[in-house]
Amino acid sequence: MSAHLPILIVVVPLVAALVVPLLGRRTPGVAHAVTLAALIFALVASGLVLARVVVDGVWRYQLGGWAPPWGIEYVVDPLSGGMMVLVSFLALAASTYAWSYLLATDPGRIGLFDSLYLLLVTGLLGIVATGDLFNLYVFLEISAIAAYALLAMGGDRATVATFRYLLIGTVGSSCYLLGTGYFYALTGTLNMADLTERLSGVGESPAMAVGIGLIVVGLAIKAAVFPFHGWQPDVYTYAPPPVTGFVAAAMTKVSAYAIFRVLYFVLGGTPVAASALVFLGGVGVLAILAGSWLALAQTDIRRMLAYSSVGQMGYIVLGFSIGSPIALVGALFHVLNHAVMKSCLFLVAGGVRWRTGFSSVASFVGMGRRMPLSMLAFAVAAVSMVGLPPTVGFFSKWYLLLGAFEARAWPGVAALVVSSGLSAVYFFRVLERTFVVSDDRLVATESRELPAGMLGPVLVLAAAGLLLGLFQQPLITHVIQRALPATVS
Amino acid sequence: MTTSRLITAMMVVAAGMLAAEVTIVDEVHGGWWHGVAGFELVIGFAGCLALVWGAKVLGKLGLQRPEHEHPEDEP
Amino acid sequence: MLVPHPALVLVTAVPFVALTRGRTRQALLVTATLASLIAALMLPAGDRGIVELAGQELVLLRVDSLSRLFGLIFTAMGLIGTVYGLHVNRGGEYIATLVYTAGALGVIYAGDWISAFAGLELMGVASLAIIWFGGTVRARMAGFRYIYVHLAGGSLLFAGIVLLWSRVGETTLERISPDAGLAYVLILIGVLVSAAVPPLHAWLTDAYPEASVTGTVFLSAFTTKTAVYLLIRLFPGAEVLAWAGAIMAVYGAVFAVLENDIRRLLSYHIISQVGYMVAGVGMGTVLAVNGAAAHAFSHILYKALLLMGAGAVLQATGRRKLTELGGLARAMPIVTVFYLIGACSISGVPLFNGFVSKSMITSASSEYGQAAVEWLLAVASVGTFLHTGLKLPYFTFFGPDRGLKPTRLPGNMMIAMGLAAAACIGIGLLPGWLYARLPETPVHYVPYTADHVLSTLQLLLGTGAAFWLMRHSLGGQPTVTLDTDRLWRRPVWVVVNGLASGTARIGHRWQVRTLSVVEQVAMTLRSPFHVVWPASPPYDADQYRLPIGTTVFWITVGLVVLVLAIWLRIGA
Repeated sequence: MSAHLPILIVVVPLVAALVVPLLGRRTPGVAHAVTLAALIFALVASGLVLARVVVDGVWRYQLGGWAPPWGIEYVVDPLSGGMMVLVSFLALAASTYAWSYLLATDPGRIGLFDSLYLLLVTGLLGIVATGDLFNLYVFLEISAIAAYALLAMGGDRATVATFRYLLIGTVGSSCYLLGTGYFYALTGTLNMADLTERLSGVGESPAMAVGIGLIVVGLAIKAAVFPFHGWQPDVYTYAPPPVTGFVAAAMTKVSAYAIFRVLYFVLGGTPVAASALVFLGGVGVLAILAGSWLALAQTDIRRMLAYSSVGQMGYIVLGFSIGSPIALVGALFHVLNHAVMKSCLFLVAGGVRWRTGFSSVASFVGMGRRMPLSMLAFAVAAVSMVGLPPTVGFFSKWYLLLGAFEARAWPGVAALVVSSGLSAVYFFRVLERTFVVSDDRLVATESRELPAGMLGPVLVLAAAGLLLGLFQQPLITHVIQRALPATVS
Repeated sequence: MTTSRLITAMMVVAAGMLAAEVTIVDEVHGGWWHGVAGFELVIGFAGCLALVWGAKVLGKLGLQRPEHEHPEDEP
Repeated sequence: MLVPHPALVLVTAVPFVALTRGRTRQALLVTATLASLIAALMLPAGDRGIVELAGQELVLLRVDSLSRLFGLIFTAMGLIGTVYGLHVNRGGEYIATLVYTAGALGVIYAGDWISAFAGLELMGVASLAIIWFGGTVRARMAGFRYIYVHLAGGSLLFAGIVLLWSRVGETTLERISPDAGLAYVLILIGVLVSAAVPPLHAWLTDAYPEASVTGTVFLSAFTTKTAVYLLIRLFPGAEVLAWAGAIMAVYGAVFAVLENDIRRLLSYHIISQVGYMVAGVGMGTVLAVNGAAAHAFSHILYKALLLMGAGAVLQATGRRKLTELGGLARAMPIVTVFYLIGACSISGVPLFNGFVSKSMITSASSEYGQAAVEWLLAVASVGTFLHTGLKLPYFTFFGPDRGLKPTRLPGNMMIAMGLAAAACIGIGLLPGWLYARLPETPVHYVPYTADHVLSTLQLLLGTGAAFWLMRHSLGGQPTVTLDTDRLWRRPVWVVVNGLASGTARIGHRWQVRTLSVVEQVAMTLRSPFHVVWPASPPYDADQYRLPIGTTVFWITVGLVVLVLAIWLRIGA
């Protein structure tokens, strides 16, 4: 059984996704229990796989025993193992939150929700686990379609926003598919490792340029890299909170992982990859500045967080672009930081809206006293986003800055410093209203703390942020540094 | 106490200090000006005048403004 | 016996403080701060608390004579400040002051840059909270400006640390030589921002008076003195500091002349006195650096005393402007006495602690060789005595009675003031106690020589005489003084407001221009007959939404640019 863990991590949520809607009609509680069980399994299995891979090295699992390049293989190395753990952890947290949320708002649809949710998780885990380019596309589409359905559950505006996402996202997936097609035409294989070998035989050609361009742009659209991010703010604003909490954290990060995988592992060291990374660097700097600037102007907190995510994705992409070991460690660590903390922020913001009906920044006045624990978690996550010690955000920014400094990437350094200041402004604005301001400016008069089912995941995420910061040293030496490609470290 | 009495008292103390300085202190630390008796008295007096006058001039020149002129103080 | 880090003692008290109320909380606060003081007294020398991080060794507890001295006065100040504020009911403010003190202790006991920086950041956030607890609109605005300045300074410092690290390879907190180049400059500027050296000082006079009565007392003690500690550690003997300090000393004194608000006036004097310390560090001789450390010690005590007195006046009368105060000596005699003790200390009157420490610096300045530095410091002394020793007490406590009826003050405020006053007098009478704890012992300096005492007394007398003659024209006026922060306050406000409203306007224009395109597409999709039958129901668009077309446009542009870039690069 344990020999098949890589495939089981993907298959178990898939099977659960098919089973859950049948149970959901009559017994939503059992349906959700099955969902949680599948996610817990995914988390535990990911943890076991990661532990084994960190010690033993890369684990190649062939589906059905068919050897590549004809068969599809799953490749688990410390990078993908870590991502699997992250995705399943976030999925579990958001799913726990979703139960309480749906119970209160829309209990009849729990079965459907959980089914789609499991499909989304399947898709994301598959993207991370696979070692085949086309298989990645399949899972990309699975996760995208499930995500479209989930995100649209937030009401009328959510439907429109998701429709826009669908259009733009399909453009992105199509670009990726076309790019994969180019590479297949060039080399005759779709397996990532095989592709790397065969590419060294094929000389550089315009076809390669177009192929890599299409793949990078396609994945960048999915990752909401500026200026391809147009779908993101609306979607994050109107979608149901548990979905935003998961999607904002996991989906874009998995797409960023895919970019990293393609540029550093599949095409690692080639001039095409280097040029693509330079482009990403420029785009990253713009993303950082644009995201932070636009976040400043927002009045709805969810939209503010969405634009903040645009900026944070810029950090990650910038780190990829710089490419030194320290910068990559910073970028990967920032993936971790952003995923956990943004999830916490969105879950709290959604909870506030659910309790009070308001979601503007102004409505946070006095929340510190009415929802103390949620706001405490929010504060911890906000502080991590700004990058103050001892949270995770401080360390990831430190590494990124160090990397940018060493590489003499002055625009990157400037962008990082400026955006830290800007994010301090828009986050502290919220924190000040939450904790310090007196009652005579209260907008939402009646509100209580979130129920335990929603508060639990929020607190766990915030605590994770603190713990990851305090214990970042072992995490970096044992997992993240081993996740770096051989061409770099 | 009235101004004149205060001034008289100050004069007496000043005289006493000058006398003490001339008789007791013989080592001169630092620049030559420290050797001049009553030097610090003059510095104190003149310095105070200069400080206040200088600050008033700066104030008139534009540093001082009526309290409610600045919008960036309001939210 | 294992002695804990004094900061750790305070931090562990925080959750308990959050959860208790009333008498229990008061007892807890006093116990915690007292325990941290005892810990600071009992710390053995040497480097402890070593932690591995990112390949570097973090030294969390470096105990030598300098950090011991600062640790002692910081923990003592924590105790005094807490006692002063025991009557306050806001739990959040206690937590902020505890964290603030802990952060300051963390910085001074740090043996490496990473811990020091973490402590500085913590102090910044905690002091921001303290300012905001002032509760007024002005406190809010001042807090925002404060944090912007400190984040900017912190970023520069961070950049400098990173640069130094990449150059030297390790992060030990030790003296930086000028050939570190840009790192030297960046770290120096970063620390000078915290030290409130003009022109980077306006945050202090802007924000400190807006905090609460108890908050300002804490604020005055830590941020600037931590910066002075860093200067002593990192840049002893840097000539630029001697000049910066001297100018700073006079600057504070000059601006204080124009001030009407008593707490703002005292804030300008913080700048003036810190100028003495900075000048002492800059002059670099053993006497000067010892003097800087000693003056930091004394300053914390007497400045707290002065601010406690001014705070007491504010609390009892609700007023803080000189034009609105007067004749309080009869109604508040004890506060007057305590205030005057503080005033004598800051002015350097013999028998008080200010004389003992300030005369070290002034003597060092007379031996320094740059006469201008000495003269500037002397003028600053004149100004200090003038404002804090003469003008402020005259117009607040003496002078024409305006019939104010001050309310009764809680006993803990008196006790706190009494403790500080006793320390001021005690050190003044027994300077040897302080001298034995200075960084470079043994100290050969003798403060109570006829020469020193006479020169100081003469200076004071001369100033006093001039004051008495001019006293009627010295009363405060209801004005606000412009300071360097006005240079950037307006532009920053314009920029931030502009960004926010500008984005709104741009978004609106986008919406107006592209709304028609969106409408057409959506209408056609919703009711495909729209092309044929235009009367189908309209689409409800929203404010500044990026139309899909724009995104797809950028996708196309991005794709073309990327492909071209790669193509050209691989030289096809």
